[in-house]
Amino acid sequence: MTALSPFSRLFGPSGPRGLTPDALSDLPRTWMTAACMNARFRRAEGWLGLCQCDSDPRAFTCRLERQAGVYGLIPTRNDAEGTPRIVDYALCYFPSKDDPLLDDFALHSAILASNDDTQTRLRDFPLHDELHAAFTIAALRVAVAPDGTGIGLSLTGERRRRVLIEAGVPAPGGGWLITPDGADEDLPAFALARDLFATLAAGLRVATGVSPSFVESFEAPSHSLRLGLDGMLTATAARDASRDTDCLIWGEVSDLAPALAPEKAAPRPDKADLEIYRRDPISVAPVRERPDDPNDRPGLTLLSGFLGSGKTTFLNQFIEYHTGHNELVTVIQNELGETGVDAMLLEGDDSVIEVDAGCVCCTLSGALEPAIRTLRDRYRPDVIVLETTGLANPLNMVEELKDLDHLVRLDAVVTIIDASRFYETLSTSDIAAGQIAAADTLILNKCDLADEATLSAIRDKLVQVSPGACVIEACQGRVNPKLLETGFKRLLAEPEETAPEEGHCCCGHEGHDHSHHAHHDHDPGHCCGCCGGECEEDHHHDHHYHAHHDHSDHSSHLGEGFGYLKLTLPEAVDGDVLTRLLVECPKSVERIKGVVRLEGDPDLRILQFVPGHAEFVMPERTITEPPFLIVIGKGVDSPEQSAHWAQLTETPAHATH
Amino acid sequence: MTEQHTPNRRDFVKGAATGAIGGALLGMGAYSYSPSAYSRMPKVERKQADFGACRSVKVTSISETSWFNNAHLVGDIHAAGGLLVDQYSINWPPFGNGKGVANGSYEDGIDSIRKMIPHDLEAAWATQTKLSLHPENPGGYSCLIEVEDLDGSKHKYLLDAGWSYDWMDQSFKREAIDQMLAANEIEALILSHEHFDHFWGFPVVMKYNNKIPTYAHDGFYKEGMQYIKDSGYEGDLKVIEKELTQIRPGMMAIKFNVPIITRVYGEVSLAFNVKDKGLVLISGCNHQGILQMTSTAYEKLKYDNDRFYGIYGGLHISPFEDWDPKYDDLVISLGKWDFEKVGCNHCTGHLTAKKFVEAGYPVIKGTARFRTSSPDYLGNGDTITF
Repeated sequence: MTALSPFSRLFGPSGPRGLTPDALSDLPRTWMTAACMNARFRRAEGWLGLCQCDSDPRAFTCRLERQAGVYGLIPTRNDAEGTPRIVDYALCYFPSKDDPLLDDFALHSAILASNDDTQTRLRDFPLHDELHAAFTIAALRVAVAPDGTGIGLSLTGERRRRVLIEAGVPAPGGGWLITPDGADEDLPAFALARDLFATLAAGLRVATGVSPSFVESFEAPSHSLRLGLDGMLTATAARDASRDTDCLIWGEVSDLAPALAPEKAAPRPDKADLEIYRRDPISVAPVRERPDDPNDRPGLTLLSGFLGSGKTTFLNQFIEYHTGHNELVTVIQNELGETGVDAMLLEGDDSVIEVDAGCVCCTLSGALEPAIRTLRDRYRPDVIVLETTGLANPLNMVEELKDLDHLVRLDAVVTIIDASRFYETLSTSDIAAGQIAAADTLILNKCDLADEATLSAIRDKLVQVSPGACVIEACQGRVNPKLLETGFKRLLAEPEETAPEEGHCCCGHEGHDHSHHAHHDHDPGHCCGCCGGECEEDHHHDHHYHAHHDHSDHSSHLGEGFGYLKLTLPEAVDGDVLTRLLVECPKSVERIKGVVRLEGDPDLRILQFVPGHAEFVMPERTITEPPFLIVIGKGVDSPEQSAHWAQLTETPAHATH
Repeated sequence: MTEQHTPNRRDFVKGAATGAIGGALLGMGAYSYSPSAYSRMPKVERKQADFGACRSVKVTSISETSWFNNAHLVGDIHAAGGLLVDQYSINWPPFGNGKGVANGSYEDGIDSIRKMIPHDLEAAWATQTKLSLHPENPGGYSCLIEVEDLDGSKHKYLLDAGWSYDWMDQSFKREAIDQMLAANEIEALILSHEHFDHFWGFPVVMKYNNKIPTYAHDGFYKEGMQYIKDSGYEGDLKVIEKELTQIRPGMMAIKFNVPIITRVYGEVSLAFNVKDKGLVLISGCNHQGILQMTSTAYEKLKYDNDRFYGIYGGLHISPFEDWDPKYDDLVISLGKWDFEKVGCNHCTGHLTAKKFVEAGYPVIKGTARFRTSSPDYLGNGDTITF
C-alpha cells in the first residue's frame, strides 16, 4: 500500500476536493471526533464533550474540565472555493453563573450569564444574537490546502479586552459599581480562547498522527475602548493593549502561512508558551508498540449496594452506555451461590466473569488480581466493574486495590442505595453503613418509592455518613453513567496528596490547576450543581475510612451471620403457594432471586424479591439452567428457616453453603 | 471605593439576574452598550432539492445482528490497538492470515480465498475459519427496500451486504433475496459504508448477481475498492462523490463525510419522499449522528407536508458526547422531530430502544426471531412499511 496523506482520516482517502462548504465548516468537529476515538485523549485533555447546535448544526458548544463555563464555535465565513480553503469562526466563552471569570466580563454580559435560561439557551447560541454578541472572545481560522497537503489553524484575540466607562456606573445603594473611567470589562480574552484552541490543536495532532510543522505567535498593537458621556465608543490608547495571534500548520507550510499569519503584526518575543502546541497530548503509537503506559490501564469502578438496591439494572445501563461509545466493559461479579443469577440478567454472558463463590471481600487477595489480569490480557477492556455482592463491604477492598494500582486505575466507588428501605437496611447492617461511607458516588435509587420527607431525611443522613460524596437521585437505576466518569476522589492516593482536598463533583470540576493552564486561578470548591444540589460546594473528602483500616473491624457477611440457601425447584411452581411463602417469609430474609416457571406460564422468569416487593422479569437471554431460588439473609440456611420453603420444593430444600 | 468594587459587582450581577434589582436602574443602561460591532450570524438557509415522490417504502430487515458477541468484537479491536486501527489488519474473517491479532492484511486474506469467491463461499469461509479471529462471531447488516412508485410499480434495492458469508447466505435465503438477486429483481446495491459488518459480505451478493449496479461512498479505501473487484464484480460501480445523489423519483442518497472507527471514512444514508406522508430516512449506522442526518435532510431536501414521517436502521448513539450529562442526546433529538414511525435496530442499543418506547415514541416492535434479541428492535425477518 502506498502511504496515504496524514490527513486521510480528516478528508477521507479521496482528499478534501469533494468537501462541501458544510463539511469544511465541520472540520473541527470531525477531527475532535476522530481524536476522541482514543479515550485517553479525552482524559488527557479534560475534554468533556461536544454538542451540536440545533438551529445551525455547523455550530457547536463544548466543555473542558478546567473551565467552569462552556465554549462555543460558529462559522462566520466560509470560502470553500478559494486557495487555500478558509473557514472563519467566532469563538465564544459562556461563563457559568459562579465562574471566577464573571467579574472580568462587562456587567451586561455578567448579568446575562447569571440568568438561568442563558445556561440552557447557550446550547443553541446561534439562535440568540445577544449571546454571541456578549460572549464572542476571539476569532478562529481554519485553512486547508485544496490538494490536502496541509491544514492550519490560527487564533486571534485581544490579550486584554478592556472597555472603560467615562461616567462610571453608580451602585444602587450609593457608591460606584464602576468608578468613573473605570473598566467595565477587562477580560484575558486571548488566554481564555487559547485554552480551547490548544485542545483543538491537540485533537488535530491526535487525529492526524503528526505534529505541527509550523508554530508561531504574533502580536499587533491594539487599544482599549472607552464609552464616552455621549454614549459613543471610541478607541483609546493603552500601553499594554495587544492583539495576539497563534498560528499552527500541519504539513506544507508555504501555501497556508500567508492566509493564517496576521497582517501588520510582529512575532511575539516570548516563545515559551508555544510549547503547549508541541507536546504529545498522548502517545499515538499502537498499544502493542509502546511500553506500559499508566494511561492504558483500564478504569475500575467498584460497584456495591445492598441486596435488591438495583445494581444489575444500573450495570446494564452502564454497559450499554460504554458500548455505545465503543468502549468495552467487563464485569467481575461475585455472586453468592454457584449459579450466577446476575449473569443471566446481563446481556451477553461472556463479559461476565465470576471470580468464585463467596464474598469478594473474603477471597479477594487470591482471586481478584488474576481475574483482572485475565480480563486485561484477553479483552483489553476500557472499564472493569467490580460488582461486589450486596453483602460485601467495599471498605475492605481499599487496601487490596492499592496493590493493584499498576493494573487498574480506580475510577469510582459507587454505592447504590434503595431509598425505600434505607433506614431498615442501615439499622440492621453495619455493612450498609460501610458501603455508604466508602462511596464517592451514592446513587439513591427507587426515589419514586419514597416520599419527599423521607428523601429529605435520607439526604441529611447521607451527608453525615458520607460527607462530600456526590449523591445522584434515581428511579429504576436510571443514571447517566457519564455522571460517574470524572472528578472522583483519588481513593488510593497518598494522604498528603489528598490532604489539601479540592472540590470534587460528578460534573468533573476537580478544581485542578493544570500546570499548562496556570493562568487561571480556579475556585477550588466549585460545583456546577449537576449533582442535584446534593454536592456540597466545598467538598472535603477526608473520609473516615482510614479509621476503619483495622481489618478486625471489618464487617463481613460471615461476621453478620449472613448465609444463603439454594432451593432447587420443580419444572413449575404454584404461583399462589410461592406468593404466600414470599409474603410470610422469615424476617431475616434480605433478598431472594432465581429462576422460576409459574404454573400455566410457558416462560421461565427471573424472580427478584426484596421484602415487600416481588417482580417476575422476562430474562434477556435464553435460560438453560433448571429453576432455582437463592435465599439470602441472616441464618436462612438454618433448619428452621429452610423448612419454610419445603412446600415449594419437590425434594426437601437443601443448603449448599 | 475601589476595594469595594468586586463584592459589590457580584452582588449587583446576582441581583440583576434574579430580578431583585431592576426597573429604572437596569433600564438606564449605562453599561448595556454593545462593546463592539458584532454582525449577526449567518442563518442556515434551506435549499431544498425537489427529488419527486414515491407512494410507499417497505423495509425488510434481512439481518440487523452484525455480530453475536460484543466482548469478542470490541476485545479484538482493543487488542489490535484501539478504535483508530485499520479494520483490515485486525485479522477478522475474511481477511485472516493466521498471524494473530493486528497482524492481518487485506492481501493475505484475499490471497487465501481469491479462487473461491464468489462461487464457493462455504469453502472460502471454512478456510477463513482456520485463519481468523472469532470466525463464529460475524453476522451482518443488510436490508431490502421496496419502493412503490406513484404509478404503483415496485422497485427493490438492497442496502448493505452484511459480513459473514455463512450467516448472510442463510439470511438471504430466508428472505428469498438470493432468488431476487438472481432474477435481476433488485435494481441496485447501496453500500452505506466500508465497515466490516456492512460490506465484507459483498461476495454473497456477487454469488447471485455480480452485475448489480452498486453505489459506494468515495471514502472507501483502496482495499475496499479492490475487494469489490476481487469479489468478481462486473457491473456498474457508482462512486458517490456528491452530497446528494438521486437514485429514483422520491429516493435520494445523502453522503456524509465523517471519520468512523477502525479507519473507515464516510457514510451514505437514504431519504425517501413518501407522497402525502413526508420524509423517510433509512440508515446503516448513522455514524454521522442523528442530528446531522435530520438537519441535512431538513436543509437540503423538499418533502411532502414538510414533515419527518419515518426512520429505520441503526441509530448509532451520537458519535459526539454531550458535555452536559443531563441531556440524553439520542432520546431527545429523536423526539424533537416527531416521527410517526420508528424502526430501530443494530447499533441503536437495547436500552435506548426501550427508552424510546417509554418516551412514547412510535417504535414499531419486532418479533425477536432469528437471533434478534429484543422485540424493541425491528429484528431479523421483520418488516416495516412507510
